Amino acid sequence: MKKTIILILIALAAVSCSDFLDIRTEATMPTSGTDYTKSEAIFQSVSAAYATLRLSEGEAFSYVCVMEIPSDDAEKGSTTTAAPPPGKWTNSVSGPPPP
Amino acid sequence: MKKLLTLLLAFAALSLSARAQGGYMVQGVVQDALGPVIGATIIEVGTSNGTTTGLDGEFELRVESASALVEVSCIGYASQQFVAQAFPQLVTLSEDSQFLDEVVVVGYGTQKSKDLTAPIVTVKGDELSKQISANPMSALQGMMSGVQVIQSGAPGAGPSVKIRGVGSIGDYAKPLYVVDGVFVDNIDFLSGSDIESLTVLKDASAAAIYGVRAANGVVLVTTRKGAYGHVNVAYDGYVGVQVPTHIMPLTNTAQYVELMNEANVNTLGYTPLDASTYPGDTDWYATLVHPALTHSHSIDLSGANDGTNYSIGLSYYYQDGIMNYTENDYTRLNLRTRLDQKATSWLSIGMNNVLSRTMSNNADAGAYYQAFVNPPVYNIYNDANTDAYPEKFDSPQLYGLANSYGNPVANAYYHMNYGSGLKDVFSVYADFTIIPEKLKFKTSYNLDFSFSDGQSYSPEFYVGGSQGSSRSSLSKTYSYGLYQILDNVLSYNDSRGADSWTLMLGQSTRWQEGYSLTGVAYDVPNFDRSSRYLTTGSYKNRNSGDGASIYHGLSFFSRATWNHADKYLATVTFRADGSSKYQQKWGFFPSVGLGWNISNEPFMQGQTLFDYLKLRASWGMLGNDNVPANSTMIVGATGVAASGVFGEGNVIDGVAAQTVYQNYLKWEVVNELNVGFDMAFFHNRLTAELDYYNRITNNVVFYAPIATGGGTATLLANNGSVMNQGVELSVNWAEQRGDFSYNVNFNATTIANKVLRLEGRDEIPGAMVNGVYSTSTRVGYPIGSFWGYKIDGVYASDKEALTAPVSQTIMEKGFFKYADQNGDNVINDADRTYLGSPIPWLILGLNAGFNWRNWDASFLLNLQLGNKILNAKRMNRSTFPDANYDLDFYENRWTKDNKSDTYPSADAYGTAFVQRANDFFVEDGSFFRVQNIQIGYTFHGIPGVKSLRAYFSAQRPLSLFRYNGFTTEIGGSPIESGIDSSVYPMQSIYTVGASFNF
Amino acid sequence: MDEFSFGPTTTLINDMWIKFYNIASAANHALSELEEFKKNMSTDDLRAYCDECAGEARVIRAWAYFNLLRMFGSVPIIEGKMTADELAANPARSEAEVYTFIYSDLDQAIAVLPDSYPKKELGRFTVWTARALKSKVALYRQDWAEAAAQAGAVITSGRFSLVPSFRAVFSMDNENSSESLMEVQASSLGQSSGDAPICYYAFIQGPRNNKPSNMQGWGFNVPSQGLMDWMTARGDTERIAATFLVSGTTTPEGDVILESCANKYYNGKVYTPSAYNLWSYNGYGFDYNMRLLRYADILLIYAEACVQGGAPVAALSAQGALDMVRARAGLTSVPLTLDSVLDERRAELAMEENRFFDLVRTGRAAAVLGPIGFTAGKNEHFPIPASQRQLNTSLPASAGYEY
Repeated sequence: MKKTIILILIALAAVSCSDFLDIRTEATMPTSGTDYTKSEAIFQSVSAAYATLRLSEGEAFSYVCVMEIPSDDAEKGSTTTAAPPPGKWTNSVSGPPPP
Repeated sequence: MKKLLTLLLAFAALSLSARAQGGYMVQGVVQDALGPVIGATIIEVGTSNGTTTGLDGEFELRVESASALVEVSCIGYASQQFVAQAFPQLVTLSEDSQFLDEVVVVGYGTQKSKDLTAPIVTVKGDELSKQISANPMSALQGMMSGVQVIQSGAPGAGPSVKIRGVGSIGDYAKPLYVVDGVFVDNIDFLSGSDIESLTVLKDASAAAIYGVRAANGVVLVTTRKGAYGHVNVAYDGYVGVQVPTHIMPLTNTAQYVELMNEANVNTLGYTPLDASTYPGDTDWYATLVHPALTHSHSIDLSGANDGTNYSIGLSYYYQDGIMNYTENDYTRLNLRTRLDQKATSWLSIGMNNVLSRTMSNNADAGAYYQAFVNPPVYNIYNDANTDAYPEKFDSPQLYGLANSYGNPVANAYYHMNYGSGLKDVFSVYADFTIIPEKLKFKTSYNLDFSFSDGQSYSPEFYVGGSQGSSRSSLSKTYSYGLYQILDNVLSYNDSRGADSWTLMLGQSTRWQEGYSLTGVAYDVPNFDRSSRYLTTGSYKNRNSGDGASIYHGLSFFSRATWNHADKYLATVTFRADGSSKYQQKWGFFPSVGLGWNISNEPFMQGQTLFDYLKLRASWGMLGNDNVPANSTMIVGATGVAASGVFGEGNVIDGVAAQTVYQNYLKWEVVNELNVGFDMAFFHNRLTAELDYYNRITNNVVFYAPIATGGGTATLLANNGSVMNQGVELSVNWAEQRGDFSYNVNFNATTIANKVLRLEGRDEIPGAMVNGVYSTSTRVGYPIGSFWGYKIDGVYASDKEALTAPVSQTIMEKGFFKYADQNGDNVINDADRTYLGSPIPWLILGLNAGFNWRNWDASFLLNLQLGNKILNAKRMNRSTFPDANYDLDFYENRWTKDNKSDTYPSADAYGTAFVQRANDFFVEDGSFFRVQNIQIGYTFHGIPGVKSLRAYFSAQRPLSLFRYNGFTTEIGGSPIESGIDSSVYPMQSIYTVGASFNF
Repeated sequence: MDEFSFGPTTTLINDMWIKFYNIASAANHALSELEEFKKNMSTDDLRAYCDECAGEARVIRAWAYFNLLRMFGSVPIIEGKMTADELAANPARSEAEVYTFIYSDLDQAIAVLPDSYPKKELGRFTVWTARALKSKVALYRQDWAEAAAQAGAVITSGRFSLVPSFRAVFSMDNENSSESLMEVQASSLGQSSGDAPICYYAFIQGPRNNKPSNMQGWGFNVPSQGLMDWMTARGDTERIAATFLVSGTTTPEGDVILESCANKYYNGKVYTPSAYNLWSYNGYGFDYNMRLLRYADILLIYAEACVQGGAPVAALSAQGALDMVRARAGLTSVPLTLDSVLDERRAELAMEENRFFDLVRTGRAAAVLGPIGFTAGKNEHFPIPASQRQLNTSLPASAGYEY
C-alpha cells in the first residue's frame, strides 16, 4: 500500500517535472524566439549595432588616449596626476565612487 | 586544595543557612553510585534559601514549613524533589544523561543528541537574546566553532555568515536558513526573543536532507512554543546607547599642509600651501557621528494544555543610526503566532506565522568617504558662500579642491533614502499518524512573502563645484518576492530488541519568484514625505522600468537511520534534486554518517575517565543551486543602451545579444568528509567535541572572463574546485560549588582554503584597484588571495638608489624597494607574489557565565587570526591627490630625519608606483574583541511576578587590532574579499534592561 | 601614452580592443538575424530591405576592423557565432587578410545601400558612407587607384558639399550636415538624467574645472602648443578659432573658459554651448555627434590618392579638391604635392583621431615622434594586450614589446 502511494507520487511528479524545470529568464527577449516574420523587427539588431558606436565615459577616455594622444597634436591634458574616471557619475552628490 | 575550598564554601553555606529561624529542619546525606556527593545543592524551591553538602555528603537545611518543597541538584546529575517532611535520609543521585536525551532538531524531524552521527550544534534562544544586536545571527559571533560571522555597522544590516570557510567562488557561499520549515534568505527579520533554539548543521551528511542550497551549511531556527501546564507571560526590554568607536585619526590643517608641501616638492608649478590661509580645522568624522539610542521591547505569551500548544510574541526594536545631520534609523515590529493542536488521536495540525514590518531611513555611506578624503581646511558652514542654497554650506571648491570633493555634511544632509518592508513567513502542516508510534505522514505548505519599497530623493540644491542638483529627483522601487514550498514527508520508525531504525521518504516542490518596478520623476518638491510622489513631480522625463525572476525546484529525498544497542549508529541519505537554473537538470546526492558510542561498550564500563565518548564519521555530497541561473537561450537586451538614435532624437528600439554560445551548466557539488569525537568527563561537567572537516566544492559556478569576440566579457561556467579543511574544537565546562556556579565554553576553528583546479586557465584576477588587479585566484592558493610586490625596504638616499643592484621603474629616496622574486634584478609583473589571504586561519571564541545567588555575569570573547585586508582607502591618491592623510602615515612617514624602512615619503606615497597592491597596503587584519559583558540580578518574591531580572550589558566594549582602519570585518564576494574602501564605523553599545516572567 | 611608455598591460589598450570587438560582435549578430528575417519575408521589397540593413551592419563591422587594423595590425577575424573554446583558439590573421575582409564587407554594402534616408532616420549609413570608408581604407592600404575611385564617386555624386564656415562644421546645429558622411549619433532626448543615448566623447575633453558645471569636463586630450605654433605659422586663423578653446577667453556663444582651468587649450571641435547642455551636472556635450568621416576628409584622400598615382575624376581635379578645402578655411591655394596634402590633412583634421595613424602609414612617425619616444619597429602598432593573449592563446606577441 505504502509502495503504491510512493510510486503514484513519483509518477505524477515525473509527468509534470519536465516542463516545471524549464524556465526562461524573465524580463528579457529570447533572440532565438524572435518572430522572423514581423517586418517591423528587421532593423532591431542593426539599431543595437549602431548603439555600440557610442562611447561610455571609460571608453571615451581610452579612445582619445589611444587614438589621439600619441600624436604630436595632442597631449594628455587635465591635471598631472589625474586618473581615468572610475565610472559613471551623473547627478552624484558625493562624487565618483571610490576606486 | 579543592577540599579546603569546598570546606570553606560548606562552612559559609552552613552559616548562611543558620539564618532561617523557625520552620522545619531537613537533614540527610546525598550520594551517587560511587559514594557521597560533595557540593550538591539543596534548596527550598521558590526561594533563595539553600545549602550544599559537605565532605561526607551531609547537609542540614531549615525550611519554612514541613510542606515546603525541597530540591536536590548537582551538575551532571538529574535533580530530585521531595516534600520536606517526606525527605529521605539517603538521597541517591543518578547521572544525568539529559543532555544526551536532549532532542535536537535535524532536517525534517528530530533526533536524540546521542544518536547524531554528524556535527550539529544548538544554541538556545536565551543565549542569543543576551547579545544586543538587531540580528540573531550577529549574536552568534564567537559562540560556535566553525561559524564565522562578519558584521556590518549600518542599522538593521544583517551580517555575512560563513560556515567552515568559503566554499563557492561566486558570491553564493551563504548558508541556508530554515525557520520552522520555511526557507528564507536570512533571519534579519527575527528578534532573539522569537527564537527557542537555533541549530547549525555543519557538514554534508546533516545538511544532506536539505540538499539544494545546503551545500554551505544550514541554520535551523525553531520559534518559541508553549510549555505544558501553565501560561507563561514574559517581557524583555532594554534601552541603550551606541557609541561610535575606532574612528581612524586623520591629520589636522597644519599637518595636512605640511604633508601636501612635502608631497609636491617636485611638482612643476606648485605653490606651497600656507595653513594660515585656511579658515577651518574641522575633524569631519567627529562632526559626522554622534552617539545614538537603541531600545527594544518584547512580550511573549505561551502555554499549553491537553492537545493545544500556543505561543504569541510581539516585539519592537529601534536603532538610531550614528550619522549626524540626517535621518537614519531602523525600526522593526514583529508579531509571531504559533498554534499546534492535536485534533484527533491520529491527526495533529498546526500553523506558524511571523509577520515582520521594518522601516528604515538610510544614511548615505558616501558621506563617510567624503569625511575621509576631505582635508580639514574648511568649516561646515560658510555664510559667505552665496552660491549655496538652501543651506549655506562651505564648499571645498572655494579652496581649490577638485570637483570630486564634496562637503561631507552636505552629502549626509541632502540625501533622503527611506525603505520599508513587510515580510510574512507562514507555514501550516497536517501530521497524520497512520500506525501509532510507527508510521506518520506530514504534509506542509510554507510561504515566505516579502514586500519592500524604497525611495531615494535628492532635492534641488547647490553647494559648490559639482555638488548639487539643478532639479530634484525621486526614484521609487517597489518589489515583492514570493517563495513557496510544499513538502510531503512519510516517516517510519520501529525497534526490535537492541535495534531501532527509522526511514523517511520525502518530496519537496519549490516556486520562487521576485518582481520589481521602478519609477523616476524630477522636480518633486521638497516638502515632506507625504508629498514625495512621482505624481507631484514634473510629467516630463518621468521614466520607469521593471524586472522579475522565477525559479522552480523539485526534489525527492530519503533518509534511513539505524541504532544498534545505542552503540552503533548509521544514517544514510539520498537526494534527487531538480533545478531550473542548470542545464543538467537533475543531480543525485548521497551521504553516509556512522557513529560509535564507544562509552557504551563493555570494555569501557570499568574506566572512569570518559563519561561519554562517541566517534563520528560522515561523508556526503550536496548540490548547490544558489547560483545565477543559466539559460541555454541567449537572451536579448533591450533598452536605450541597445538602441540607436537617429534624426532629431528618434530612438529606434534595438535588441542586442551575445554571439557566443552559452555553456552547458552542471550542478555545483560539495563533497564533504567529517570525522569527530564527542566526549564527556568528570560527571559530564566537562564536555568536548573535536572534528576534522574536509570540504571540496566541484564544478564551482561563477562568471569567468572569456576571449573577446562574443559580445560579452564573462560567461557563466563550471570553473574549478575549491577545498576547505580544518579542525573544530569545542570544550564546555560546567561546575557548581554551593551558591556559585559557572560554565565556560571555548571554541576554536581552523580554516585552510585552497583552490584545487581552475578550468582551462591559470588564474582569475579580481579587485581592480588603481587599474591593477590586486587579488588572484589560482591553483594552490586560497580564493581571492592578495597578489602584489613584497617590499624590501625604502631607499634611504638618492645615492643608494643609483647604486642599487635591482632596477625598477622609479628609484629615488623615499620610495619602496620591491623584492626581486625571480633573481633577474628587474622588477616587473613576474615579481608579483602571494601576499596573504582575506580568510582567517584561526577563529577562537570563549564565553563564560557565572551565577552566585541572585547575581549572574557573563562575557564573550572573540579572536581571529591571519586574515589580511587591502587598505584600499589609502590607495586613492591618484584619484584624490589632494585628499586628507591619516595620522599614522603622518607620524611614520619617511623623511630625511626619520629614514623609515617601512613607510614611503609623502612624495612617493602619491605615485602610482607605490599605490599598488604590495605588503604595505595589504595589512594584517587579526583582531581580539570583547564581544559582550553582562551583569544581571534576579529579584524573587515580588508579588504577581515569578521572576524579575535587571541587567547591564556592554556589547563590543573593546576591540584590539593593529590594522589602520575603522574595522577589521570586511566582506565582499569571495574573489574580491577583504578590500576595505568605505565602511560604516563600528559601534559599542551599552544597555540597561529588564526581563520578567508572570 | 604621451611618452610611448605603454605596454601590453596598459588597460586603455585592452579597453579599445574590447570595444571594437564588441562593435564587430553586434554587427555579426545583426547579420545572422537578418539572414533569418530574409528567409521569412514574403515580398521582394522586404527582402531587399533586409539586404540594405545587412549592408549597414557590414559598414559598422568594417569600421571596427579598420580601427583594429590601424591600432594592432594583425588581429583575429570573427564572422559568426562561436563557442567560448573556439574564441580562445581563434588565430590572428595577417594584415592583408584583414584588408581583404574589410574590402569584401564594404563591397557588399556598396552594392545594396540606398543613397539616403528620410529625415527621421538621418544618421543611418548610406552607400556614400560605405564608399567613403572604403576610400579611406584603400588609402591606408596604399591602394591609390581604389582610393581615388571611391573618393571620386562620392565627389561626382554631387550630394555633398563643404559647410561654408569651418567652425560651423562642428556646431550642434550642423549635425548630419551636407558635409557629413559618417557620424555617431547621440542625443540626450531633452532629459536631464536617466537613460538616454548619450556619448561621452565631448565630456572627456571638456574644459577642466570650468564653471558653470555643465561647461566642464575631464579635460583630457588637449591640443598641444606645438600644434598651435604650427597652425599660427601657417596663418590658419579660422581653423585655430575652431580647434582651440583657450583658457581665459569667451566663446562667440557667450561661454567663458576660465583662466583657472587646468590647461591652456582644450579641444574646440567638441565645444558644446551651454544652451545645449541640459543634463543635470557633468553634462557637457552629451548630445555631440562624433564626426567620423567628413567630406573634407574625402577631398583630401582624393587629392592624396591622385598625387600618388590614382586616376582623378572629371568632376574635380586633385588640385581643385585641395583648393576647396583650403578656401573653406580662408586660405589661398598652394601647389599640389604630397607634403602639402599631408600638411592640409593635419590642419583640417586635427584632433579627429587621424594624425598618429597618418604619420605611421606614411612612414614619418619615427622622424616626427621619435623625439617624444616613438621607437621605430615597435610603436607602429599598439601591443596586443597581455590579458587577451591569456584568454586567447593563439594570439602572437606584438613585435618589440615585452610581455
